[in-house]
Amino acid sequence: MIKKKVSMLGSFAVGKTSLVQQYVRSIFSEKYHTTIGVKIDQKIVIVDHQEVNLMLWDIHGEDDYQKVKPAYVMGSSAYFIVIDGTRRNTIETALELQEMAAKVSEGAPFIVLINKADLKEEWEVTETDIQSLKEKGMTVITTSAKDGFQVEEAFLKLSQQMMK
Amino acid sequence: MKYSLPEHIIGHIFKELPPYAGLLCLQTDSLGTLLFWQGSWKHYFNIPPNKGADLAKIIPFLAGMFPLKTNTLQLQNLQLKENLWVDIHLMKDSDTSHWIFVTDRSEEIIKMQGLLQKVNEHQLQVNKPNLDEPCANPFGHLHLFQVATFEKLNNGTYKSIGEVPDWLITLRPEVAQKGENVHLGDNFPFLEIFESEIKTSDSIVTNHFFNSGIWIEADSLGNEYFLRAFATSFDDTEYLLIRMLNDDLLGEQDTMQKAREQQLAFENLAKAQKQLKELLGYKDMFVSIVTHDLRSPIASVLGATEMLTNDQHLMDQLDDFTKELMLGMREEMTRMLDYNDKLYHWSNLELGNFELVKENIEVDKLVKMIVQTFNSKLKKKDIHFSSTHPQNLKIKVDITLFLQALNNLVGNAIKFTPKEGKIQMLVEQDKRHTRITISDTGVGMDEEKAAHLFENTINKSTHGTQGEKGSALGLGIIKKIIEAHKFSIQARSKPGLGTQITIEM
Repeated sequence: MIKKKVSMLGSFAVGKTSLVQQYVRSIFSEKYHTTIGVKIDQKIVIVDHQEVNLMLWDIHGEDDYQKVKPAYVMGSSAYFIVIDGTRRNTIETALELQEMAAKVSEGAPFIVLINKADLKEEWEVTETDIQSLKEKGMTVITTSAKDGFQVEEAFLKLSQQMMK
Repeated sequence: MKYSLPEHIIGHIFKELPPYAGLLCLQTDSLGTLLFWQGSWKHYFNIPPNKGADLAKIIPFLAGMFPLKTNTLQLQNLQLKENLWVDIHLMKDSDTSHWIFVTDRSEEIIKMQGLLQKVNEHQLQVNKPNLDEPCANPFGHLHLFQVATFEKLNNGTYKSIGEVPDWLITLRPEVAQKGENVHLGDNFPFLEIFESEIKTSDSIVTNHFFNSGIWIEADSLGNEYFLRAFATSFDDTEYLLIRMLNDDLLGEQDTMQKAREQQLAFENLAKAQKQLKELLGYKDMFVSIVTHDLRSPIASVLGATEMLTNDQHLMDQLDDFTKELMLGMREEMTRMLDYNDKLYHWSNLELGNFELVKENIEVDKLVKMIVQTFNSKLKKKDIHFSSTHPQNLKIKVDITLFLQALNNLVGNAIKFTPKEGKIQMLVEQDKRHTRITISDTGVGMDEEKAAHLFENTINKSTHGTQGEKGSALGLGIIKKIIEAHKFSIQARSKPGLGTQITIEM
């Protein structure tokens, strides 16, 4: 079976762990539980009639207390850059991480997820911000780890891009 | 004391009956010198009996016992030699005669010992490392510290060495069982990254040590294990140590959790503050726009009422009631215009929609402008206004705004000063400051109230000595203007003794 490493990158508390838990186990917890280090979850999926073991690297959030080591992203077949729609300042961290990941993963495909779509009324990220990301050539998908909105679709899309 | 048994009975016990298995009777004098013996001497001692021998030398346990201090003494479970245990009973017969009875307890003790040995071994076996054997792990019994140790083999796989900690048996039983040729990267994908990090790092070459970040593994039940790997080399052999951190990490995780929760709280607070500022801005802008637009219609109505009330011919034709109504209307419209203007100025000051344009102006000129503004009101209440200031003194202020502030102060002074009262404006200058003090002989206020008069931008409106109505905005406007000039202002007052307001520049 093919094994593919997919890394989750983003600032702290954007919902990386929640997205993985929703995708792998269809569960969601309201309580914020900070991730220490790296957690690896696995899910077997069928992509283009092929069985693929997705190794999901849930990497701790980037902030002043913990910096994401480039080594964690090494060997990634693809990665997600996760932004919190209710916190505009997570865009800057996301772009910095994307820049790092692009160098380390040697051109692996990625998708930008703007998470917490269920809290749209509290969003600070605007349509202009999203457009700006798209103009940089990024694929942007809004998701909600809470109600599963577009989570499955995001992982499927990235898996397909990865297998090309 | 001799036993009272008849001699022939005693003789029978000793001679006729089979001796009690192992019973040996000994008699000594008070110093422990052997006088008599009866029973299976050879069973207990390797040397032949010898009358006159020192018993303490034959039975070392009896050293120091003679003469007996008590009438009887019992010593139990004494090991005389291998696989021989005895009880010894000592009896003082007289001052010159002691009896010693020795019985074999070996059978019972050997049975008990066997049982005790099994119980103790079972107790010890659970946590007892085999410290008697040479340790297979060159770093010692690290498994006791939740560390799994692996030796790197030439083919790139690993071999588990030493004891295996329990967490590894639970988490990766196949790794714990396999022992050799373990592909650690297959079982712990995180380690693939760590191994590539080791290759690119100088740390293991220079320091002989390199540690990984923390990663989390979960077992089949979903229990999480926080792990950290350490790579090291020793005696030309490379090793990988994996330590479970769960107990150690609780405090650190808790700290990190609290730090990030606090960070999120700060972010939310900043967001709320920003929203609040925006809302306040909208409010001030709304007020500014509305008051601006209201000015024209209010001024129009006021103009009309003034025209009508100034027409003496028309007024004479009206009855008293209608006349009062007209005059009241004019007064209210005047007040409304004044209030609207103040509101407009205040909102603009809050928005910061002004830029100070400072110019030099003679104090004398300012005073004349104030007197001109309030001449009618001063006359109406017969209030005496005076000013004292150095000749040709100039101050540098935004004339429009500063005059507005002074007008508000003088207007308040007139409002709260009764008829025939006095208002004085005193301007003094020293090397550092210029002070303008407006004093009145008005009703005054509590000292406490005066001390905090300019702390709030909005105060409750109060009526003057003749029921004059005002707005609650005047003091707020004064405060804004004074602050914009970077001057200071304070009030002093006492009830019934008037008020003093001082602006220090």
